[in-house]
Formats: sequence, C-alpha cells, structure tokens
Amino acid sequence: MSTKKQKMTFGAKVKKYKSLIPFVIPAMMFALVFSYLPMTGILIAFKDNPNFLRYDVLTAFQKSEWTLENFRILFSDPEILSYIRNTLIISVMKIVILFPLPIILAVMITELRSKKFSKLVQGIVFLPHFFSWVVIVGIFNSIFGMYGPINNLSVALGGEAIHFMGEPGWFRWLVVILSGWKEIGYSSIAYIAAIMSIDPALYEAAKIDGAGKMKQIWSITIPSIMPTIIVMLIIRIGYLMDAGFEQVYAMLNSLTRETGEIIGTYVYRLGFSMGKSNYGLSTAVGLFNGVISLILILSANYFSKKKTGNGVW
Amino acid sequence: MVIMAKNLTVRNSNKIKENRLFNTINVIALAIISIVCFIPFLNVLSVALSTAGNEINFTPKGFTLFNFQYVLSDVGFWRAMGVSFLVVVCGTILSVTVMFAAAYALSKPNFPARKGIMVFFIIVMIFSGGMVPNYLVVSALGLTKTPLALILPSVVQVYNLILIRSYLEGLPLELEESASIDGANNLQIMFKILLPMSMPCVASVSLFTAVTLWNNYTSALLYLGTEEKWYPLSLYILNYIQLPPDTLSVAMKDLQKDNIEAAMIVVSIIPILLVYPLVLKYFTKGVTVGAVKG
Repeated sequence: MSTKKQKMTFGAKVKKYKSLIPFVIPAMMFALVFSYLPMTGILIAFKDNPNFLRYDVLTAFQKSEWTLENFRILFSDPEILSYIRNTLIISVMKIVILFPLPIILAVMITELRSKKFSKLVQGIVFLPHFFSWVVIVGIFNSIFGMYGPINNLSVALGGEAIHFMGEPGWFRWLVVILSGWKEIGYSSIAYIAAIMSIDPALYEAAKIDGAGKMKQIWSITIPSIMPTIIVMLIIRIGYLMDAGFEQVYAMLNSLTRETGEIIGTYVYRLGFSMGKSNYGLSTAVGLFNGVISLILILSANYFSKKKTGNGVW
Repeated sequence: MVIMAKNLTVRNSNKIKENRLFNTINVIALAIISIVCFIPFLNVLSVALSTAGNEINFTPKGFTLFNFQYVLSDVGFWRAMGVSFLVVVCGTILSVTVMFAAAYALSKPNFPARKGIMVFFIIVMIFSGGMVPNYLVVSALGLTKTPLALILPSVVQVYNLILIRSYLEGLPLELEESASIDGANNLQIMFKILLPMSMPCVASVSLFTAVTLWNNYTSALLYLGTEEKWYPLSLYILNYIQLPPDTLSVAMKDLQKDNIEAAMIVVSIIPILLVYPLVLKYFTKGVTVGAVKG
C-alpha cells in the first residue's frame, strides 16, 4: 500500500497497453521453457551423477545424493585443468593474432577509390562468415590434407608431408588460421561503418596541411575509430572462455585432444559421447565455465559503457 | 609569393606521387587478400572434380564427375538437405514472428515492466544452463529425436529482438495511430502496417536467422542422438568428415572419401551462394544499424 503511487502508474501502463501484453508472452514462454528452466538444472552439478538414462528427470534427480565431489574433481583433476588451459591459450591466440587484422582490412577497403572493386573485395572477404564450421573444416581438410597444396609444396621443397589435422603441435595454429579465414572479413564491417562516419572535412584539412595517406590514417582514421576498437576489444575479451565449440568440435580428433580439447568439447564428451555419461561432472564443468563467462561479459559491458558510452545492451 | 607557390606545387606533386603509390599498393594488396580468401573454394571444387589419389593444387586432376554423381545419388544427403530446408523455413518464420511481436510491444516506451522484460531477455543472451540441463529439458518435453528440437530451442534470438525494437522505435507513429482510430486491432497493425514498413530490418533479421539455422549443428548433435533420419545437412557432412579412417580399410577408399567429402561441401554451399547477393544487400545494412545503435 505504501507504494500506491508507483502501483498506479504501473496499473495505468497495464491499462493502456493491455491489448499488447499477449504479444510479448510467446517470446517469454520460449525463453522460460528453453533457457530459464534449464538454468534450474545447474543443481545437477551438486549431485552424484544422476542416472537420467534409467529414470525420468525428476526421479533420477531425487534418487542421487547431494555432493561437492564434482567441484573437487574439477579443481584438482590435471586433465580438466589442461582443457581449461587449452581454452585460454586458443582464445588468447585468437585475440592477439586476429583482433588487429579486421581493423587493417577496414582501413584498406575504405581507402579504395573504385566503388566496384571495393564491392567485389567485400563480397569475397565477407563470404566465409556465412558458411558453417563443417564446411570450413571440410574446405581446409583439402588444403592441409596429405595431397593438398601445402603438403605438395613442402614435398616439392624437399620436406616431408605432414598430417596437419592430426598433429597436436599444429592444432591451435590451424584453429587460428581457420577462424581468421572465416571471420576477419566479416569483423571488419563494424570498422568500415565507423570509418565511413568520419567527417570528410577532417581529411580535407589534413590534405591542405600536406599530410600523405599514411599520415592521414595514423592521425585521423585510427584515432576516430578508437572508441569502436575499444568496444570491440572489451567485448572480445568478455568472450574469453568461449574458444568456439562448433569450430573446435568439428576439427578435433583423438590425435589432437591433448592440445585441442577445450571446455566446451569436454563438457559435451563427458555428458554425451563417452561410454558412461557423467552428467554431474559435465554440468559442474559447464557451470564453472558459465559463471566465469558471465562475470567476464558483465564486466566487459560495464567497462565498455563506462569508457565509451556503448555496450552490447 | 611566386616561390611559395612553386614550393607548394612541388610539394603537391610529391604528395600526389605518394598517394598514387599508396593506392597502387593498396589495390594490389587487397587483390592478393581476395585471391587468398577465394583460393580455398577453388581448391575444394578442384578436389571434388578430381579422381582419387591425385595431388591437387587448386586445379582438377583426372577430371571426373563421379564424386558429384555419388553425392547427388546419395539418398541420405538429399534427406539431410530436406531437413535443413524444413528447419530453416519453419524456424525462421516462427522465430522472426515471435521476436517481432515481442519487439512491437517492447518498443512502446510506457509498456509495463519494459525494462524488467528486457533484462529477462538479456540474461538469456549471456547465461545458459549448459548442455546437460538443456538436453534434459528438451528430452523431458519429448522433443528429442524430432526436428522440433532443432527449431523450438532457437526461437528466442535476443539480438534480433534488440535490432527490431530499435527499428520500430525509429518509425513514425502517425500511420499506426490513424489505423487504430480506424478500428484496426494490434494484430492487424502489426501485420498490415508495421511489418511492411520494417521490411529492410525484417529481411536482414530473417537472413541472419536462416543462415544461423542452416549452419548450426550443435542442436542436432545434442538432441537427435542416433536418429539419423532427422540429421540436418551440417551434421550429416560432419559425420562423413569424421568417419574414422580405420573403418575404411583400403587406402584407395580413404582417398576417395576426400573427393566425395569435397563434392558434398560444394553442393551444400550452393544454397548459401544463391542467397548471398540478398545477404550482402540487407545483412551488412542490418549489422551496421546494430553497430551504430549498440
């Protein structure tokens, strides 16, 4: 009763838009069923491996014991720790090597004089983004395969053919190369948009001052798109724990597990494809990953908003 | 004055030379980048057109159409493509309609609990129960081993909701108001006025969703189990790629596998190539709108 005034305004809103309320209900129902309901399932992480194959979900849940064992394993098992390490290494490699490239590409594309050529280049470099990881991996199987051009070249130069896709030492580099081929072009779109919105008068003034192209890029283009670069970098770091499940799962095989298994693929393997599913441990590892990601993403959004006024939401 | 002018022209001509050099290098570099980007496609096409056991360097060797004939006569391949089409068409229509309706309601500044509902959706975007809990819910609903498992869990696309909502907020309200004075209900307003007016946005969001659904294989991997008849194309090809080499005892068979795999990939990207001109037209626009509005 004490919040009567607030309640009235809320009531007024409801009254005014009551015919629109049903429009938001289906979306909320889908979110409730397929996103919020599974969130209650994280309790499985605190259970001693419920037997979902034998009983229905609730019975299996009730029948199994409460335990913290899953988390003890998670923080002490050297195998799991090595997969966490793989995740971080692959993610950091992707950021360090790949993050600057779309910026350079965007600058190059926006410097083009010919509209037609610019369209053509964009059409080609954006394309791989729209293919599934399965297709990308298949395409590169034929590039890096035993009879592919890379091995043919190395053999022609007197080297030996390497089974790249099954070589633990190569795996992470291949992840970076494939990821770069797929996403560099597409990631440049945000920077192209930012560069297009720079006031042309700045360039005119620089030209009158006698600044050459490189000078213009360094002292006008890059500083002008710095806010975009910062937002993109912060957001990218927010997704540090996500080394790319669909990509790595499609590339991984038993030979490359040691350097290539990441948290996502391990959670899948534990829950679904090992002979005996360990749902409890799988959920615990997933939960650990999810919580760290959540913290990273929330902080990323916070810093991004604070620094530039722009966040993901 | 004369000297200064002369200096200026010398400087200008140097500058013009420098800029010309820059432009030339830039064009050449981008041409090389484009070729490098394109070559893998050429290579996979060449492998698909070659007989087994040849070393392929971007051009077919021992030209043959056998691999394509093999793929095109593979019933499983066509069925998987059919499943993918089904999932993409139904999933896109359902998801975009549901998201558009929600965005319509949430685009009203005074919609009750507007902020709270947005937070409700954003949480969906940044946190998930994980693979096992997701699987258990889908399984408890009896959706596993059915194509519904590939559609229903992907209906909520929060980023699309945000995009459509900001687009609707930017539309003029007059048409909507005059329609409601004329006695049109909200459903009519949504389908007859707002949807046609938001076509650029809806087109780009639909393409976004369609491409995501076409490419996604995680749902199928998690929810379909061994029910191969509902495998979408992406998972069907992945399974073929991941066939353990030891199941193919003869070396030649193993080699043939690479060529057939390449042919599968070439055929499977044709639908994407067909819609790609549309994608370029709408999609890049949608992305830039999103980037600007944040």
